[in-house]
Amino acid sequence: MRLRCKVNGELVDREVDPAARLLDTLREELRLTGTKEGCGKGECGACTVFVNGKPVDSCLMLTIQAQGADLVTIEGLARDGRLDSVQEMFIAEGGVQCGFCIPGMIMAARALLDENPDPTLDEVKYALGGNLCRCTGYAKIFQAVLSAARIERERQNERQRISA
Amino acid sequence: MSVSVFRPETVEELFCLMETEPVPHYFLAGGTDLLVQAKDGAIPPSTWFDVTALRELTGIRVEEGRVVLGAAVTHDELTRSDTVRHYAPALVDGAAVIGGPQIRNRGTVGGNLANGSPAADTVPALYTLEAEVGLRRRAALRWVAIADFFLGPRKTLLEPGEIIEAVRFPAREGMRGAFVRLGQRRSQAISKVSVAVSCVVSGDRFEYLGIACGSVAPTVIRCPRAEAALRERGLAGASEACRLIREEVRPIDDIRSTAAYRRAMSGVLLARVLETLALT
Repeated sequence: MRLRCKVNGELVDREVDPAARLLDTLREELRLTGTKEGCGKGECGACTVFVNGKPVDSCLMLTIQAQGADLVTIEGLARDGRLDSVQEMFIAEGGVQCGFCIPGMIMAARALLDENPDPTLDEVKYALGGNLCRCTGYAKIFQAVLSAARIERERQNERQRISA
Repeated sequence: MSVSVFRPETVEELFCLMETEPVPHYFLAGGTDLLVQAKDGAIPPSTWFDVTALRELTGIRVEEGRVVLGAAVTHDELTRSDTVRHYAPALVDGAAVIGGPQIRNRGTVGGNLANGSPAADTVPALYTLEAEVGLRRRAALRWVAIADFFLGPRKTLLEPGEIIEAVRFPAREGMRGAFVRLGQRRSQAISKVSVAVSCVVSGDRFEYLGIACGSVAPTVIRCPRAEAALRERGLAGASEACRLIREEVRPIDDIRSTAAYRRAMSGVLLARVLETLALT
């Protein structure tokens, strides 16, 4: 099929296998290998991408289902070489060990903060409930998300102060 | 996996494809069951129809005194719907517990029904609401009571050539309710045992009451004996209802839990739900 969609802000128009998983099309065709296959069954969240603004498991979508969609992968979060605040805080808080779960964790966290800029710890846990980590025991991951929320609020307040 | 997949834009187009494309046919919505089964090697070479472009299957609306949910409505949409929260709070609870955010953003009401698992988390609430499932074959639409729709694990009344178009239930004012379940984890866990209650309360009496249990029988079941105890005595019948529900369930031992645990917990979960409803 001719896939026409947007990926990380850029138009994609190419011949792909409609029955291939979106995960495979992203990784093998588009060479966006930041999205990982951890289980292939929608249990671990390592394959999380945004489809029309919502986090989904790309291992559970067929490529044909992305026709006309607006997709964002982990590669799409940094802007002009600047890391997203979630990415920054995962580094600053030491929330990364082997790194394999991290793209999915960051995507889930980004989706949470886009909707709820001041989450409680319980809300962070619920939002990351579709993402598994075998290394960290989650504590620093949750701390990183809460810190990202805090610095985004601080930066937003600063921007409003400056423009006032 | 040798699968050919189509993404029809209208139901008419879908039915034309269903006539010409080789069987077996599978319907793909959120993919949260079908692609897992495919990964496990359980799906033969087949034709898949992606139904997520069909507008006819979308939408949550109230018409002619009923709440109607399109088959392609996602669990996430259910949890965010003021209409569903107003008329079916137990359904909101059920949808909110499924998987995790990624699963809820894709998994659908219709898919949860079609998959036919007795552990499906939206189904107990639908039993308590006396829902009907709308099955379409071309121009013909038939409504089946949800208690008749499920025949056993993974077996439903859906016939070849039919699709699930919607599910509907009466829009009752003053509806309250809750759904609780026990799972191995808070998220990404299939329920070991679950209880849904939907009710309209008038003073200390139940004007309307439905209780249903999941993962305790080959299908979700209503619990008429537990309901009777509460209808007769109001909340004073709660401990009797919790005793009776343990007799009504027919659980088995399986990979997820034991019959004894499920039986005992059906009473505990009913007590918890009734406490929640009594306090609010």
